[in-house]
Amino acid sequence: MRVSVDRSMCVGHAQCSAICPSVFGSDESGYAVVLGDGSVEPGDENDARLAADSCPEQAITVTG
Amino acid sequence: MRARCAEAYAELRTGCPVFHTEAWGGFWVASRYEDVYEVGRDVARFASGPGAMLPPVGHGRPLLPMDADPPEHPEYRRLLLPRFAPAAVAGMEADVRDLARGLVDEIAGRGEADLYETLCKPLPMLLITRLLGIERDETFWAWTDTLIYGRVDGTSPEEIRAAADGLYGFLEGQVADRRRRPGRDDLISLLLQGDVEGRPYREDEILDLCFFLLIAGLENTAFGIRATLRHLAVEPGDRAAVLADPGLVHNLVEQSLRLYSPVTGLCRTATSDTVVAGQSIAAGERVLLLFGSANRDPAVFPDADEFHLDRRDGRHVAFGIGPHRCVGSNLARLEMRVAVEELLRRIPQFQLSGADPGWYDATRLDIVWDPEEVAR
Repeated sequence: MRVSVDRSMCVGHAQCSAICPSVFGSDESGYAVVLGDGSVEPGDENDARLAADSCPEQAITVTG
Repeated sequence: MRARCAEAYAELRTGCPVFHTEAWGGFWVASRYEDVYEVGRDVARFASGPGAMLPPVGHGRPLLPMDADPPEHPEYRRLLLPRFAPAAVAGMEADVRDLARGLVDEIAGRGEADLYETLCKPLPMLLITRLLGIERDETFWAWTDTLIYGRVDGTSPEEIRAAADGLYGFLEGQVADRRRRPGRDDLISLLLQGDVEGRPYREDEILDLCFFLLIAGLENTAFGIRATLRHLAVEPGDRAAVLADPGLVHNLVEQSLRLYSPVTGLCRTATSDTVVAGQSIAAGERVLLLFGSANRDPAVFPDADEFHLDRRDGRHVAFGIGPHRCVGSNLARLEMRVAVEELLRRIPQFQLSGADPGWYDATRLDIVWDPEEVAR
């Protein structure tokens, strides 16, 4: 499973990094960043999906 | 209205999702999640410069950065966002906790208290004065109360004008003080460093930003804390669940924001003739984004009118949607969570002292508890 953030859509609600901090972080202005290369460890998959579902802007894409 | 909002919102969403009212000079109301999402995110089609508040605050000045459009709007946010980003707000947690703990300590031995006046309202006040670097002053809070509540409680325009003049005069003094003694770390000092595409902020921009930074997080945050603590008082099962699993406080805060949305709605103004959900809207007409209704839209949130402590439902739009997302959302969430944690830490068992005052007003929240059961 992989995740990506569309930075043009992110406005910094910071729900993703709060829900799944092992996969998502935020930059110094609070916009979402994907930590690492975007691949998600099996143990983090549920939280990563919940983080994507919790984005009000729907800026997160989950594949695989 | 808010008392029976579940029914009213449902009627709007199913019967007339974009409806027109003649109130406040006439405006459209978007009540479904998908329409709030569409309008809120499209800042080219829907401007904020004509004013987002309905009714307006009444002092005739823009609330910045909310009532701004490009190019100013993103520039104001560029300056402010780092101070309210998750990392910066995490650094404030110890301070917020100290303030909340002090307020709870004050009441712990009493066995009864109005939580609105003793915890919900003072916590954001103490915090914002600290962030702005200003002293607390009773006159000062009387002015902010007049401006916030005077919009809807029949206060005369002269009184609102006088309060605004008093508050702006006070802020002018604060700004002048920061110019004389630069280099401090507070938000007013930060505003002096701001620019819009290389042009330093004008004095009126600094004052308007200052004013809204001060009031934006007062009543809204107090309302959010109050609604959450009232929920814990009337739903002892949810309170027991949070006591047993403190991690549930995050769901508690998000569900509270979703169901009891402190900011019921904010406006946009169409920049050209357009269509939303099949409804024609003319250039210059206003559209109220009814966040409180969007957050109860069953198309997005199953069993939307119920409080689901086992769910996150983070897609709610309690802090708005799109580029105008509340700058202070991370801080507001922190205040709500810490208020819950510090109250439950010392006073784990409590109940309402009388009839349920409901979640929908920013009024007293009287609770009682056994002082013998207070934790140290």
